[in-house]
Amino acid sequence: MTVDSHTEREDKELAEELAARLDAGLLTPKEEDDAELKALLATYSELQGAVPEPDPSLYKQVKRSIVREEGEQGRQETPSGRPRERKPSFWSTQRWLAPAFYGLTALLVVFGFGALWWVDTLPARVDDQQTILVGQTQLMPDSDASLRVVVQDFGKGVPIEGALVRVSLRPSEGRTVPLFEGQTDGTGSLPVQFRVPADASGEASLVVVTESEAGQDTVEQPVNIQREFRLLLSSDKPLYQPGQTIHMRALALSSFDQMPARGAAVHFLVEDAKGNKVFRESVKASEYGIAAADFVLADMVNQGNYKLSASIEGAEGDETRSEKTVEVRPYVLPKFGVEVSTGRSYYLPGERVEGVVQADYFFGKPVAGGQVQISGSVWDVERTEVVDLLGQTDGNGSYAFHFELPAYFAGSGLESGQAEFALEVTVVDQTDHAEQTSRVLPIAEQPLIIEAVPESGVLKPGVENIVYILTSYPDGRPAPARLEVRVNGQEAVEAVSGEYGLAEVAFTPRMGNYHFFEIIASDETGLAARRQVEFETEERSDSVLLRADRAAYVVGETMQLVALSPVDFGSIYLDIVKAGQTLSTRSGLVEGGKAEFAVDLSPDLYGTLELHAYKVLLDGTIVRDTRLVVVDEANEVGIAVTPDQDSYLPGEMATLDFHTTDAQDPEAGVQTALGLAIVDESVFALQRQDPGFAKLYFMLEQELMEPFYQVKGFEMPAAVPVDEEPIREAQDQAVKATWADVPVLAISNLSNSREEKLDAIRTGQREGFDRIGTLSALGLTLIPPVMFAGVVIAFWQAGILKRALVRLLAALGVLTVTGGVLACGLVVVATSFFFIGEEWVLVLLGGALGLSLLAFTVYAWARGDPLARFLAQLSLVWIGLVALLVLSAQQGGEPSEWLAITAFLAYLLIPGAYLLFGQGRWIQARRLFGKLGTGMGALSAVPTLVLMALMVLLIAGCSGAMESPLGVLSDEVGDVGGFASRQAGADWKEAGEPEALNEVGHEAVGAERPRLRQYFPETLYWAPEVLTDEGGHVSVEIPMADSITKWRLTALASTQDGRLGSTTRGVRVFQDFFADVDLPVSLTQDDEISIPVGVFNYLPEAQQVRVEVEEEDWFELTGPGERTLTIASNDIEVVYFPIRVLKFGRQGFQVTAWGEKMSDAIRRTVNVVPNGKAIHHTESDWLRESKRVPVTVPGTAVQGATAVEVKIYPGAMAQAVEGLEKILRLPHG
Amino acid sequence: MVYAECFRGVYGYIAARVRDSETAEDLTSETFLRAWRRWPPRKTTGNVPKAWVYQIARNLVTDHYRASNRRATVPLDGVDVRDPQAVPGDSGHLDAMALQMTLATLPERDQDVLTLRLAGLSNREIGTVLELSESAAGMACLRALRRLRERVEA
Repeated sequence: MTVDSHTEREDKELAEELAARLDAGLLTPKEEDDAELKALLATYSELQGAVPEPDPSLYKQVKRSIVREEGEQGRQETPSGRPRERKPSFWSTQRWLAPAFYGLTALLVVFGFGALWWVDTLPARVDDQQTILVGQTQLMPDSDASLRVVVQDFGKGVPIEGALVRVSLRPSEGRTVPLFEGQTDGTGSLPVQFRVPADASGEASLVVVTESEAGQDTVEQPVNIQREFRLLLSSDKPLYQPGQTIHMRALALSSFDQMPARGAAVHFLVEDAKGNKVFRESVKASEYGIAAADFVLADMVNQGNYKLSASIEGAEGDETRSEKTVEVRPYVLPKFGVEVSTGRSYYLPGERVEGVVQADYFFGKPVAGGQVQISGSVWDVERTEVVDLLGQTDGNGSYAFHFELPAYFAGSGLESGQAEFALEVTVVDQTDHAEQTSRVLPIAEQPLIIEAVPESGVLKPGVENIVYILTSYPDGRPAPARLEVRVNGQEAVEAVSGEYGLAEVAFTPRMGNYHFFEIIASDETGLAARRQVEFETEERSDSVLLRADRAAYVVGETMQLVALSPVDFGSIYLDIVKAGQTLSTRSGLVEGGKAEFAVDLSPDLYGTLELHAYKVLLDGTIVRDTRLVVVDEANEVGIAVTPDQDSYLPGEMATLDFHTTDAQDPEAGVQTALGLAIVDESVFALQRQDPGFAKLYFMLEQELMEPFYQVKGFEMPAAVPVDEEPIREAQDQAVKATWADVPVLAISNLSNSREEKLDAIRTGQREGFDRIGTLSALGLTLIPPVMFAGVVIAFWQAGILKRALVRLLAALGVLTVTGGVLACGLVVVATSFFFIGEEWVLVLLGGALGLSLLAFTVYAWARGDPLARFLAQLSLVWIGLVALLVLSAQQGGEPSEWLAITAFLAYLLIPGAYLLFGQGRWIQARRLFGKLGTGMGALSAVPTLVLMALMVLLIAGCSGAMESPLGVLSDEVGDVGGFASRQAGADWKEAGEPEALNEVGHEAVGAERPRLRQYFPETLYWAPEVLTDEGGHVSVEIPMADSITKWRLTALASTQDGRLGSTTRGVRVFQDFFADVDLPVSLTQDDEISIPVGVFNYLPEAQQVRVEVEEEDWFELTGPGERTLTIASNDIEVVYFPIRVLKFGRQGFQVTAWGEKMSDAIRRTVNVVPNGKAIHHTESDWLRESKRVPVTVPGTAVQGATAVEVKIYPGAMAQAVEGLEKILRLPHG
Repeated sequence: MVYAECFRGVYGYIAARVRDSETAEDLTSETFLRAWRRWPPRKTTGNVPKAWVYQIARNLVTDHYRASNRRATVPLDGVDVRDPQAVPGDSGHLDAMALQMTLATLPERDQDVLTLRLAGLSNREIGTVLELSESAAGMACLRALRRLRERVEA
């Protein structure tokens, strides 16, 4: 039976009957009923039994929701008793917003991944053309400069011929200046010559544009255009006493062309032994580039090494500085000098040492009859004295000695098996004045010392290398020797180190190996030594070795250069660099394994030259070698000094004539500025100062002054060429060996367009990854609050926010307890039972969270719950952003730390949002979403709890680690207190300066009161800049001091065109009869002491002398104050005057020696210190308009011994900085 | 009043249509909340609150299926028939399940008519919900019951 078999009327009737039965609930068929009706009723009845019944609690829950909504929204009842119609929300009317939001967020994530891919694949989009620049970054205004441009096809590995090259200079401000235009040759290379604009200064860019069929490159090379200066700082002497004046002179010349730095501001600075800046002055350099400043030391100063410095600021604020250290301490000048000489300058253990002690007064007479004590000691674990000799000098001041050396010495590994034997010699003259000197004798294990060095510092593979072998005696003298050289155990090669102990061995090494040299040397006397050395070879198949025929040249000569290469292909380029600027660039084809260059040395090449020889390989890499040579100018300045007398009397006026000339032509006068210093020679007996290296200082780069290999017998000044050819050849060899491994000072700068492009792209990549990472972190920071806010707003609109938040808090409480336990349990179970690491637990949790989110998302879309969709969508976007962040971080694009922390903290809102959503839905009787939301919240909170615990631990660890350094810092700052120093005032006088100078003259003879000698300066004359006339002449009148000594005159000459010269000579002051008082450095109040007074008689006959002491109130004589003695010719006598010291302070002791023929009077000063203990007390306060600082001096203080020192700082920071500088300078600071 | 009258029927209607108890609970809750918020009933329902509530429920069911982009399916587990007699393994339980599965195979209109009728609505009310005349609703009910029976017997 089918429906179609019924008529429409029958169906209608049946439908009505069925409806009536169903409405009435009469589902039991009657007998008279139609069969179909019966069947239908039966089916309906069965169907009714299958209708699901609701959970009884659901009815109440839904009802509560409705009642709550009614109550919380306060909706008013309508007159009909029903609630008023609610106004539709904005969101429900603007239905396009949700899809737009979802689409936009999804699009953002997709865009993020797209950007990541684009940034990641940037390097693949670089073209193949590469442009290589070889040049320097330092340029001088108004000078010729050059660079080399090489254009290659990186993809094909071939040079590009005919590439158009345009070079221009773009200053930091102003218009771009075109400099050069040309095309590359067959090797793809182009030497670019240009003149640096005269008005260019400071930072600029060399812009090189190259165009070829392969493409176009623009390379920008930053350059610095400025004049560089070199400074020579000199002082009058190396050693000062408190109260004396430090005279400083700075000579500033351009390092490029040696021209004086006219008008430049030279800043002088003096730092005391504790690093306090005690003097600062800026002086404008003269037309000759000379600036000078004087610093007067106070009587109370920090003693020790003072650092003097002079500096010039360049155009860009960079500084050229020259420093010098002088010592400040109280001392007494020696009366005579003691020299020790031995028969040989080195010894072997057990040998006999023979030598002579020579003692001479500084005024030129020998110390006759002096007592000599010689002690010799060795140093193993401690100093042990093994020789003790006593003797007396003869009439010439000499004493000959001999002794046997010990048979065993403990040698030091640092000194290549050499040990030392120390000699200390004390000589006491007839006036009981003692002077000491010491001498160290080298004790050698082997009688010869062997050194070896390859000409390039390292061996260059595939080409002939020269290895310099140096043989010397342990005292440093060159040792002519026969050599046997065995390389890698092969057959020995013989060589001879000539008169200067130098030999060359040629050797062609293979690539990448170590080569062992065994060298056996023996001299004519049978002395022999053996040494093994090993050299490394460069690991390149192609290399360049540059060889110059000499190391030192004179302007006008031709420099012959050979560049060797193992690959007989391509070109070798030569750059000549001076003061960091490429002056010339040349190229030569490699033929027969070498390229040769002949360079005519014009005057502009004067100075130190770096020669860079290099090949540009087809892959863009550069192999190179560098040599240093010195080019001297022939026309240095000679100085002739002519005193009007050979010897002067104390106080006499001396006239010194100076004549400066061209060194090559002594008749041709040269106008110069002279720096003159006349200093007591005895000062230099205390500390040596060599003033004669000014010329070499400016010619050689400062770094070269300390060579890597010391060639014995050839000190650095020997680098200046001399006339004798054999000596010059030896010098060349020596200097080449010395400079073989000197570090290159101005490496040719490489600029490779491909590398630059790649660098730029890598920079862009880094920035891109950074931005992606930062934006991802920003998104990660913003999404959780948005999620939480969305849920809050939705439930606020639904009127269940309050209840939902209450339930959320409860859920959070439960979760915090159970979640933590669960997380720990998971970790324990995973690690203990399944042996899974903690990180994998997090991964598993993350996986579970991801799957849950997937299920939640599917269900949210299936159910069409807008809030669930909102949460799911933002969660997915969040995960996408996490992936972006991780991927960008792997490429180095990390967001800032604070943003990452904020994003992590913001994540905590995600579990909160889900939990709130779950609780809200639960309240709304939407149980499934309630369960899902709560579950998602709990699941996402567990890893958060674990991570938070880890963070807490981490922060706790960090803060613990930070406590210690803070503690240390506070301790250090505490040390700053109590700092005090003193800056010298301007009114301090030089120690020993007379209160009133006597008139010049020498009248005291016989009964007439002799002239009192009381002016004993250590620096007699100091003139930083004395100008000669055009003929080079100048005369200087100098009143001699009262010292009977030899003065050392030092003159430095410089011309306006940068030529230099220097000389040193002695000026003698002497009288035939004189007395001298030998006072100690200081006396203490209440001392009782006998003052020795020496009487020197160099008259041709003996005379009777009455020596009397001038009584003064600061002492009392405890014996006779007058003595009479007869003194023979050329003899010395001493008399003693016992005194008791009464007063402290700077006191004078005056003695007059009355003679029959000649008399003398002398007054020397001594510092008497109070008899007590020095107590220091410091008060600090702010100085505003005026400040009264009370100082309480105890009644028990020594009267007159109290001194107050006031130091004023510009602010508290200045004092702290000064103290910090001191701390930082300490080794442990 | 309306809530008490309609709650069981609405749940039965929704549960019979979605055949998932938790979804049915959510949709039932949503139905009455919407009804509360949109009160009074629309005029198209002839000011019959009961029919209006069922119309809301029907729209939610339709949205549910539309959102999930699928037709109604019958899960093999989770059938929640609140017949105290129906126990697992019982033939009554199996019959009810088979009947529900068969009902799900009917056209949507048939399912609507029968489930609304099972929820206790008269033909007039069914017509209001489905926007049919009373007689058309009666005919639809007859034909739906016939088709169900035919499929059960087939």
